[in-house]
Amino acid sequence: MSDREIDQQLVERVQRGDKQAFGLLVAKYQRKLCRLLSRMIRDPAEVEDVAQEAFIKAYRALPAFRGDSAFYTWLYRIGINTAKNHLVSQGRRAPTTNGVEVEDAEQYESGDLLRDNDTPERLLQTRQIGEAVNDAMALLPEDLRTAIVLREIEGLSYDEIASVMACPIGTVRSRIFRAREAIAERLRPMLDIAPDKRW
Amino acid sequence: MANEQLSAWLDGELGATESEILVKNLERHAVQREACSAYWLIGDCLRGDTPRTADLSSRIMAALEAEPAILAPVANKPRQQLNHWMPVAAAAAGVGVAVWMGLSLWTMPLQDAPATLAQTPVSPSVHVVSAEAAGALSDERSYLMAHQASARGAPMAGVTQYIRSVSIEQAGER
Repeated sequence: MSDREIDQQLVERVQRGDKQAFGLLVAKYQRKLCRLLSRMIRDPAEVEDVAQEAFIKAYRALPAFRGDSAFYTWLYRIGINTAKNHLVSQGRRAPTTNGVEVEDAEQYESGDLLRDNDTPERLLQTRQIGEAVNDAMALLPEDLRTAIVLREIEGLSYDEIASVMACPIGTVRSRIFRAREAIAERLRPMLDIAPDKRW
Repeated sequence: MANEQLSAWLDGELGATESEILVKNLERHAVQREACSAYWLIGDCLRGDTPRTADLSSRIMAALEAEPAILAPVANKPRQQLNHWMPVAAAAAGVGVAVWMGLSLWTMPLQDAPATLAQTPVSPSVHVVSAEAAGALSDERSYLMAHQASARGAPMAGVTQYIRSVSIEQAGER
């Protein structure tokens, strides 16, 4: 199954009344959407508000979504329009010369515009999360680290990783899972998910 | 539900059926949804996309509490599949009809047909009666045509030979 098919599966669950499936789409795309919006809006708090509004608009429009385009492309379009409307309502102009288009939404590097406006708390949290992931990666056994790097950074399939690492696909699957669990274990205290805050 | 299966699903390495069952079960398993969320975060961080904003999931899901659940008809896929197969089915049906017609013509007993017609019995009495009636009509018509010139001028001259005189007798008139 491709990434697009996975999204479509989640979309169909939402269309059958499963709100939690929409939560998964939020969890998956919130950072990418915020990164995109941060190219248009400088204030991180405003970025969060606009992202939330875009997700709610997407949820409301989801019955009409038929999967003609990828979910994330559709979501990004909603995000860009929401950001433009937000800027207009604030009496500001949406960027045009250095404009953000859906087509190149995934190709730019992380939002440079945002860096100047980050609060110290946000910078600390960002740094902590980054460090936790790097530390956990450094502590991983070589085979687990290679497996997750080939998957997450190089984007190889399990079959391709199995060829590269000369091991069965089942071993690749197990290694990637164990690597993720080891890193997630380090991240959990930082994410601070209280049982009552779970969605 | 094992998180290893979840991890494979995120990578698109589960089959369609397994994947569908997993997604359905996620609705009831908050811990697995969080694991999912953490795995996506790890992937983003490894690709250099460290979050610069707070986690919006709880906030957005809280906002969606007030929204009604979507119940949209998901009838698109079967219809698309049907549309896809319709031309094929129509072509197959057309070929089937053509083959059937061809076979019917091929197997038809062509030599027997004239023989059957020739053997059909003809009733001679019908022919005799028909000839008599035709003769009587012809005599009457030729008589009228021959005497047309001596007929009195009438408003309908020329058509007299085509007119038949009839008498109507109604009860009690006489």
